[in-house]
Amino acid sequence: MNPDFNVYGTKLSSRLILGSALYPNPALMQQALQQSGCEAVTLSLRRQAPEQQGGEQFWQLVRDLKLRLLPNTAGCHSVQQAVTLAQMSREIFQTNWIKLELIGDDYNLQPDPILLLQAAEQLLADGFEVLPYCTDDLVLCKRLYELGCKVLMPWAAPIGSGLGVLNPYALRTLRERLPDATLIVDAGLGLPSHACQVMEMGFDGVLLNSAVALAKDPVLMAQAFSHAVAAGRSAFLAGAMPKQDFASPSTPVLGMPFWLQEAT
Amino acid sequence: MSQTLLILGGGLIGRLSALALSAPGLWPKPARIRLLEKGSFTATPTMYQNSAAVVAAAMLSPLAESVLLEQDLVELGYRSMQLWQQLQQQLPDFGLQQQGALLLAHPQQQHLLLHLVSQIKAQPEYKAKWLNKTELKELEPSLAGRFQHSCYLPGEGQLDNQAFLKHSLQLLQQRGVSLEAQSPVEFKGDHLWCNGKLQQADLVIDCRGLGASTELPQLRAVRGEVLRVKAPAVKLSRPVRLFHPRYALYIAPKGEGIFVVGATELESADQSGPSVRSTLELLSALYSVDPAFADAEILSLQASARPALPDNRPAIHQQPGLIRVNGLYRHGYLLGPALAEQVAQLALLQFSETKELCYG
Repeated sequence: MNPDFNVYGTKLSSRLILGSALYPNPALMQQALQQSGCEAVTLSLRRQAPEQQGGEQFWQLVRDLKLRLLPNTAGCHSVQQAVTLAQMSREIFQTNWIKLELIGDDYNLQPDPILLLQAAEQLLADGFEVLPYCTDDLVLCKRLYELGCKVLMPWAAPIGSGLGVLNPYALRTLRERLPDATLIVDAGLGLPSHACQVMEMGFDGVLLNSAVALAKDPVLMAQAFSHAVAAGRSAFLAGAMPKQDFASPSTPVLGMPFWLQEAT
Repeated sequence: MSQTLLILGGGLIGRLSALALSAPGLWPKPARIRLLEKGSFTATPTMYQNSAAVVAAAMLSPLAESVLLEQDLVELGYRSMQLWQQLQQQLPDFGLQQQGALLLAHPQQQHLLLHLVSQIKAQPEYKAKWLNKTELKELEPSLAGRFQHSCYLPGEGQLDNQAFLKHSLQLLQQRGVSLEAQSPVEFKGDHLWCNGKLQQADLVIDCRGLGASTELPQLRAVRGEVLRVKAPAVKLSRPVRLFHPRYALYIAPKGEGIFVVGATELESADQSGPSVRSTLELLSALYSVDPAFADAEILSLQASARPALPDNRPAIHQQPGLIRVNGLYRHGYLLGPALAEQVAQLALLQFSETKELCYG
């Protein structure tokens, strides 16, 4: 298991990565990102006419924060679309990092596992450092890892749903079976406790957007997630006590009248 | 006293400021008002019309917007409503109405509706009201049976912006305001130039929106796309806001069977015409509210850019001889008259305090 949060050789001290969309306004977006202490931010460009640099003013507001930029291919439905957009974002943002998103179903925005593998292979061959947004399927994650994706980003639940971890078994399995991969839970988290939960499982980091951007107070929620991620990480490192189905007194019972000991 | 006032930008806020400062009975009354517009004062039916004033859906919805607006701006919204009513008394009918608005959601977006209503800041006179099926049928019979839940926002209004823009121009002319089209301006140090001529003025009011980007580098463009259709078969009497995961989409009846649907909201300064994706979103919103829209005639499909500051709030800056108002974002019609009122007050204060020439 990695002691550091390592994204293709870059060590990040904050294990929280935030998105830059959906905030009430860009000023609040900037404050939330700053207050969260995150060191990387994901941003999309597909609907902002990247060919004409249409989103330049907004992107500059994100760049001003001096964080590592993780451009994404949100909204792409084909390998060609995703590859073209990745190349465009490399040019615009001067980074090899790409959060590869390839939607396979419009209803729940579930990633398309088959196309994801094809696109990841092409992008890796083209020198990209690919962070695929994927489902929690073990075999898919293994294949992506074997292709050369050193970072994998399985979902907890569909994007923007805020449902939290739908399949804890699958996420635990991923952590156990891919101990050397950098695993970031991406999508579906709604509460800081959800983030804490996956960090307790040993995930390397958490990526989220809606849970912070759509909160009534995004700045405060960003701080809450930051604390939760740190707490979950500490808990993982500390090692949890074993669970058991019966109570165990935390104070000695010797010397206590027998009728008070019945409960134990 | 014979002050000259130069208003830059013939969009909504420029016109509203000119109306406020040319109103009868004003003291000290500017001797001369010139309204300078870089293009034409009349709309051209292009796909990309770079004037948010023309393209806008012109909703007046302080209650719905209170979710994102601070209370001081919500109050400016209600003040604007009063000022619109006053303007309506001075101008031919521009379709001002205040019959409330409806919030509707399809089952998949039900949670967004519940969330939004819970975030509305209740106002002393106006509070959101959930409707049952019978109440919805009474308000809008054509929507009956299609929506399980709907919420009524009293006091919300709208106007026909294209009619207002036309009539306001005529009134300004009648009041002797000099309307100067094809007059782009440029600030060079303390001097203002227009078409190669140095401009003389006692006070300049800069209402150029995105045209002032050089002077206000924090300004950014937020792209919006709006569709206008004619559907005489559709019987909606008040604006309907339909829930969409990313935008506030309104379907606003503008009278004579005309409906405006919009607007998208994209963080982009892209200056091309509306995209297929946005068009599909607008059209499907329309069709899903009432299938009778299927036979509607598409009158126009336009895109424009809204001027916004990083906090999405409007701002008025002033220094001797110069007032700038900008950043009205998607709240031009909602906040415009109240901001123009403030601009006019500041202008009159400057007139009475200083006679120094700052430009010229």
